[in-house]
Amino acid sequence: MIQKFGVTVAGLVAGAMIGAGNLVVTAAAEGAEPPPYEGHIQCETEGDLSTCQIDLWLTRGYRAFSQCQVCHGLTGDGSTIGPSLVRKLREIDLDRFMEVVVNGYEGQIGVMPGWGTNPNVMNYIDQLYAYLLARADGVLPAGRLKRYDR
Amino acid sequence: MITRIPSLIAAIAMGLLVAVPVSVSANDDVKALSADVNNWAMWGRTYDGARYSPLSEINAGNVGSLQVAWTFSTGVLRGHEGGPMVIGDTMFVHTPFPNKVFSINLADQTINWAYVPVQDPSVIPVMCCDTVYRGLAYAEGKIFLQQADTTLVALDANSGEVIWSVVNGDPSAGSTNTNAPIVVNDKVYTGISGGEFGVRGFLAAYNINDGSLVWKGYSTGPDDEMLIDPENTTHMLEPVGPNSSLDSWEGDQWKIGGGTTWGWFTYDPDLNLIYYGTGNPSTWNPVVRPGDNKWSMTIFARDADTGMARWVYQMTPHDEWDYDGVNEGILADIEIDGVTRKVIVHFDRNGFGYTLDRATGELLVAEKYDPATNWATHVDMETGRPQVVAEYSTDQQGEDVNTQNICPAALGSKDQQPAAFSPRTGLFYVPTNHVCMDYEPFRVEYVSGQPYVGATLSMFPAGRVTGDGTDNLGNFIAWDAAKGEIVWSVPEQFSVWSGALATGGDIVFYGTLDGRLKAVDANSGAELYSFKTPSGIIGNVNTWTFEGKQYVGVLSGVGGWAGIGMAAGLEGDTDGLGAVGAYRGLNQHTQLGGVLTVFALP
Repeated sequence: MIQKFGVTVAGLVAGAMIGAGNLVVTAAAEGAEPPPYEGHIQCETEGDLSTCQIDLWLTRGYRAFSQCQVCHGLTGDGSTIGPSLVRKLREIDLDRFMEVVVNGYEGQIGVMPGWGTNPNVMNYIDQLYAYLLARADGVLPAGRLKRYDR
Repeated sequence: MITRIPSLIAAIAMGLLVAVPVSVSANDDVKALSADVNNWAMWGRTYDGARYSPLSEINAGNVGSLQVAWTFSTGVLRGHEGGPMVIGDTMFVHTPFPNKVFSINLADQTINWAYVPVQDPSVIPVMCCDTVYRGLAYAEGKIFLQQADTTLVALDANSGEVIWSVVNGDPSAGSTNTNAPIVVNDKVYTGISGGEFGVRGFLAAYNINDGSLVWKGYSTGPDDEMLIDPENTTHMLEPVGPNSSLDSWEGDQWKIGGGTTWGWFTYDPDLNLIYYGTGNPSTWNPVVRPGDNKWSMTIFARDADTGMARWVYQMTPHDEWDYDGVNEGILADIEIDGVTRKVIVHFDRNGFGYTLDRATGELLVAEKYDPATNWATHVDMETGRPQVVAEYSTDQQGEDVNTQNICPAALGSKDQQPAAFSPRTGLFYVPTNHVCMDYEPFRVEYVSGQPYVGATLSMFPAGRVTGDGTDNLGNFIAWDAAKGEIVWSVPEQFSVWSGALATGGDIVFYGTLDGRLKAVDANSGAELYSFKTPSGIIGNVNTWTFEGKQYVGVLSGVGGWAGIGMAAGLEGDTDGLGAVGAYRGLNQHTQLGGVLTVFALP
């Protein structure tokens, strides 16, 4: 987790530099080491993901993810078109995540568009990253989640 | 003609015998070619889209001993929709992006020529649901290829040389193409894709000789741009009146309103009407586009010469579920209440099977062809409007509300996979999905050339809603379009995403997502044959003869929207998404890769 947080901060700075003007830096205070989704998930029973609920902030990440579903699968576990984001988020850091989301990527089978000018993604890029990382870290189940702050 | 003669001579010299007409119109040419049961000369074999062949060498009595005769790899990985076209001793095979075309000599299965267009790969991510392509058209020695980047190309059928090409849309604004064109008289007809990108749909007619645009009729907007005559174009037998589309949208939303035209086209030579459906209005958030959003979700009947709309019928006014109306309209003459009617039969994404008089657009039958359908109780036969159930209305439930257990799911009770009609049994054979969904609309901003979706979805087997203990994601059904009743229904583990074929042998063929080509008894649905092809099947099953012997062929190559539920990896959990878990199991059955498999009796 220590390493991940360091990457996160660097990534947020890098993200801001590559044109994500709407970035809202919501990372925890300097010195703390929580993942970006921490404080946005509440689970009634620890270890039972089906009891987890999220807040509006993380819900926005799930909604931004709806743009990804058509290629990366309904659950983000990949499809015939694009790879599993659940797995990818374990392999890449936030720098790489931002670079690919903003500028796109040409793969062997598919081509991912750049989303740098799309407000539906870029306005919620922090939340999207946090949501996908939560899925990759196995702390959230696939699919829509209830909100605990409604 | 001068330019074609040398290539024709060359082709004959090379031993090819493509049936090249001499001095007939394309309509006669195409009619003659499609009337010859030895060919499969257009997507539906005949203009009526029946996907029926009278061939009966392979029949219910012997299909069990069917064998693979030969195979052909396309070298392309993504989803393979459509099917092989056969004219004389030549087969034409198309692929998804990059939209290769192969001319294959049926005598020895060698490649006469291959055409590989050069397309900007940036078009790939602009295609919402895989880079599929549904097939070619043929007329007067020309192959018509509708590329993904919207370029419509006429190729010399004998040489593969480009005769002309024309640009049909702007991919940088989200326009792409996936549809198979058709040819009527001296025109080739094509549509446009991009409903998830706010593209404004249209049907366009180009001259087959030089590619010049003859007419273009939009799905939405001012009457003149839609080629709608307010006095004479009818809906439910009444004139639509002026500004029928503009008055059904708020502000300028119609300009980015969708109504795209990516499905199959059919044609009635006697009425000279061309039939097709329009897709969903944009965005998927219905709250931001009050009104009926005409003429999205609509069957159009247009005069093939002028493009003028004779009649329209809107299946899903003010769509709230992404039930595109693009599915094929099959033209058949069937007996209803003792009278033989010339009808168009359409299995809509919204779960209703419609039978309309194809001359007048009179609504005759509208019944659920998947009993799980719950978003509407029924269609009011006076107004033609579905009676929406508030509990499943994503508009009435509102933005930022997760409307649950809606049947069918956004991919519809049937998607693009075309049905078949057998005049011998009088039944329609329909590949269907049996999937329901949760749907939560939310606000999105429109950005030209970018996806414009505006809803989050979860999908699961319909059995989770009906509570009948089933978990199948598809059914293959036989449908009586006069009564609006299911005659028999065969459950399938996955959605049936393959185009059906009915034959004079009283058998029906279809493919499955896990890759099986199946033959069933046309009367009972009993399975008579099954063979596991190299990949999942989302293509159409076609049949033809060569040297007096009947063959059946189908492209395998999983993908399309059906493939989106197919996980690349099996890690992660599916808590609360049992259904997606079911789709996910697909990758235990099949992997990517386009292969044509051809079958024959020993």
